[in-house]
Amino acid sequence: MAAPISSLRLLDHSAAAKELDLASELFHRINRIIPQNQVLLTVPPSCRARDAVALMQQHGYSQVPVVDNGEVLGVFSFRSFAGHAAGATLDEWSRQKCAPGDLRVDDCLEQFQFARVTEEMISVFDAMDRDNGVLIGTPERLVGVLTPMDFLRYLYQVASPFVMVSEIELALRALIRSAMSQEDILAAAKRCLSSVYGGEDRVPTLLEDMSFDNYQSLISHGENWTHFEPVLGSTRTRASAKLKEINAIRNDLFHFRREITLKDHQTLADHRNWLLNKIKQVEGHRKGEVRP
Amino acid sequence: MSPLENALVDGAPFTLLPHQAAFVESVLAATGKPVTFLRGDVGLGKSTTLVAIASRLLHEQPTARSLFLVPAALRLQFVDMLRKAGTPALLVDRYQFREMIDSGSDGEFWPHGAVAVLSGEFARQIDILESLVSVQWELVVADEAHSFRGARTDLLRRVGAVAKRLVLASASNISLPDGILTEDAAEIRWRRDQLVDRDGKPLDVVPRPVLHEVGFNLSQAEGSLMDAVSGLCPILEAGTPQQAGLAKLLLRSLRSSPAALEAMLHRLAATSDVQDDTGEVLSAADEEEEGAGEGPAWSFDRPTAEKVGGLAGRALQEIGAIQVDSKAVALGALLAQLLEAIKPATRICVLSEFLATCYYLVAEIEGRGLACQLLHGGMGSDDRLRSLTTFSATGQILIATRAVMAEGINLSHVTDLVLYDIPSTKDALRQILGRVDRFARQSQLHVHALAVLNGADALGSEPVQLLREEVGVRTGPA
Repeated sequence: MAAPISSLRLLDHSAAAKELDLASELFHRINRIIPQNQVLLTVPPSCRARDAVALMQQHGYSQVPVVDNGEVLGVFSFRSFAGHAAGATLDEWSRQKCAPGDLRVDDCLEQFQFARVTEEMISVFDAMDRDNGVLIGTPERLVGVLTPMDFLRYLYQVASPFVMVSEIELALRALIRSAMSQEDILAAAKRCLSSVYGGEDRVPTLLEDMSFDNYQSLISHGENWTHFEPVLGSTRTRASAKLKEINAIRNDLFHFRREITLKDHQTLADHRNWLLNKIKQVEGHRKGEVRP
Repeated sequence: MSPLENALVDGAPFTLLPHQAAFVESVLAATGKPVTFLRGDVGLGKSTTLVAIASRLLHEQPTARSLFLVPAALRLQFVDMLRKAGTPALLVDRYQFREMIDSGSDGEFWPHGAVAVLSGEFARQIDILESLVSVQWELVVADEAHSFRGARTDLLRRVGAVAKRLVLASASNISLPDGILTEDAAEIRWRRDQLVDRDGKPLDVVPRPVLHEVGFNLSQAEGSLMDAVSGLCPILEAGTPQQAGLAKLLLRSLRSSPAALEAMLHRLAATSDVQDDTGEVLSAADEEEEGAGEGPAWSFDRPTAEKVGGLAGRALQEIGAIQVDSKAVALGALLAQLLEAIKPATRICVLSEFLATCYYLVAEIEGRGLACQLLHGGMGSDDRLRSLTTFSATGQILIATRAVMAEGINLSHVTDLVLYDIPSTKDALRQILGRVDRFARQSQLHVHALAVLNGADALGSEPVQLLREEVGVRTGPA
């Protein structure tokens, strides 16, 4: 049956349409968790266990749906195979004149719960805990397979930019403190932030009260750079460019302006590592100074 | 005004020029050939025309199925243009496809009465392709059809077989996919100098762009850096095809800026720090190039990783020794010269291949007390619009990535285009020029290219030669 035209036309009513269009992007539903490039691997019921295991190892999967005539019969997994293989004695295997690898996959099936792509992720927690996987779609129309690793990767992808930004921000504070005394910080802040805050009296006196934008101005200001050059190295332009790039991603991230891409993630990680190196160097110098 | 133009003017942001209207009529004519190949330079209104075809079709046949296969970077632009023209449009990616499967039945989930917009790369995936060819399409449009090469030709051939009308649009020459007979196809070519406006007057009245080569010399420290990076490249080139690609990217980042190079070198240097439990492979970095998307990861065996890491570390030290960036200084001098005679109409667009270089240039230009706007593919649509509106209103300097120029923006008001990194292919160069040197230009475009005067990358290099062929020669600054 075709999709009703009326509902599609609704997508064209600009602002409302954009929100509707984005529903699956805005909410952390199952569709977002299935890897975008997941290649759905299935085997027929007559497939031998040894072939299925080889296929699973080749693809790095620990289970594979068994499909007959387009319909899912169940799941063959390392667990279901182990259960069947361990369930018989050597005598029984000898009587049957076969090895565990000769079993057909439909002799070792287990049943996974099905979920729809539009369901909330929490709805499959129990099934995931019990079975180590969930099938997405219906028995007649399999869309994907969801595993605990997919959950872990997704949640890491969502959370890690926030963690990295917090590390970057705290590292910057520490580097500013290592480069300047409290008096110097105050003087530098008044020098470069007065116009932003509308007067010297209004400029924050504590780093904790300043924004990332303020840190960037503080470090990039021509008159302050002499303090930071020994700590950050490179040139003012290069250091300033990195801080600008971090700030842009940070603002997009914290104001939920757009989805953070893999490239953004890599950029944050690069700049975080740059600051981590600087912190290590500062630490090294300190330890060298206090060493007898 | 033709019925088509009337229909499109109603609520639509564009009207058609005679060559566009004629093309729409030609594609939709009942007696027309099933395959139409439109060849025309970038900037002559192909995208608008393709949207007009779909709009007209769905106006006349409200339940028709229509499919647009476009470059990934242009998907949103096409959806937006279609919707602005009052035409229902659906961007289909993997997530949308899963939801369509979830809500549809018997494979009948491709919408009637709407245009499904897919990237060519996504459409050629096996399950998507099988699904696309399981239904009949009233209209299939392939934009940038020259990019449907190799395995993608099969996509065009198979989708074309289930389409009543197939439109192939490109700025370059293409050959018809196997299975499509020459007698079934019509080719229409738009030549810039032959097109007229609605009053019959020639559209192309502004003189052709003029090229200014801005030469600069590398310092000794910069020469040493080049040597250090050049030492890395043969190791990478001897590896997998991806590693050979990485070597090319590394050289391009070297030519671009210390900022772009530094990011790549840090990742390469990090490969030797990683403890590898298996002793087999260590993963390196993803492609840095702006717009390259999710590029392949590179892997090195332990000895190579150590060698690469060591050389990358040495190159990083060389970067640290560079206090003056000759190329950035040359840009500064050029900008000062261009801005010296302040004209209200002056609009300078500086283009780089790398996002890191763009941020670097923003810092450099702001450090000189000048204001500038930034535009790149990673920006949200509101931020992009803000950047372009401010640039359009207040003028002066826009720093943009090359990739964002492939996304259908109109920069016809730019007076000076500065190629901070010179594109190495004709297609990339044409794509850029098409965004700037297009209809609605009021004055001649000045193209400035930063080029090294000494060393291996001196003015005679291939990209510079290509630029001279495409734009013309005029040595020396503007």
